[in-house]
Amino acid sequence: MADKQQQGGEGQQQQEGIDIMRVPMQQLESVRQSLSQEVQTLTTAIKSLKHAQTKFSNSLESIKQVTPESAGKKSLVPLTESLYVYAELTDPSKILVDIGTGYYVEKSKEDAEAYFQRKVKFLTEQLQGVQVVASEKQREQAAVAEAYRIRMAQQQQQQQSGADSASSS
Amino acid sequence: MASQIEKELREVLDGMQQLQTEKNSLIQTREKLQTQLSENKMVKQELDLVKEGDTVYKLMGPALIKQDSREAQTNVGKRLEYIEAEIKRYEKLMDDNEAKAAKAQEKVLALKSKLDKEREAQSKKQ
Repeated sequence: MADKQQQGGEGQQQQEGIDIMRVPMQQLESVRQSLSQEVQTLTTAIKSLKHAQTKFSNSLESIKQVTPESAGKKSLVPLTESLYVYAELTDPSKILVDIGTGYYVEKSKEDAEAYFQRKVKFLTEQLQGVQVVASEKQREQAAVAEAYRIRMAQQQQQQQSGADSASSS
Repeated sequence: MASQIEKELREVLDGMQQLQTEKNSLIQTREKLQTQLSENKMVKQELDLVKEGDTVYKLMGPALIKQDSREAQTNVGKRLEYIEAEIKRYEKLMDDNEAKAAKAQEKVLALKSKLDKEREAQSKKQ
């Protein structure tokens, strides 16, 4: 009973509820591994979010290039990666936007711009959220790595002194 | 006698392995469904924002087919319902899997202690 209370007290002192200087080494190692995996996953997530964000802001820039004066202008349109045909822009006021899962909406230029702005904003918010979690995890990772290093050094020292006393006796 | 317990133990362990593989594939499908869910949710949001004069197209194979915006909305709504139901179904499957794994774990422990006792008894005889 007294034991339990002590453990509870310790849990309150430590934010994570476990003392990383006291858990078994094996457990510390597995925590270290899972943390590094988490950090990796989050880093990939950040990368792909940034990639998507760039794509949307590029699209936004592209439609800003389309002005009422663009009507009737000739341009080369890619049919495949290596085959282009001349095309004429008949209606610069309408833009076809891919909204996902196979749906496309023909919107006015203003609405299309608003769409991309919305997307960029959404991704920025998501990115901020993920970045907060990522830096938190990185801090944890650093703390665990440091504890791991110290513990390893301690263990080695103990072994050394053990060997010394054995040889001296 | 001991060999029989060993055999049983091996069978249970094999079963556990199978449960683990099953669990992994369940998790994968669950994640895929989650991605689909959020993608469809975003599409639904966009379709809700479609104005009177806007035209909605659906990509069917290589062609864009004009579609009534209200029809598109109901379609996506239905798809959302379906995905949500699927997620619930998979969650239940995952729970079942976990329960089975826990039971198997218990069985392994029971068999192991039985095996230990058996061996102890045998070594005493010798």
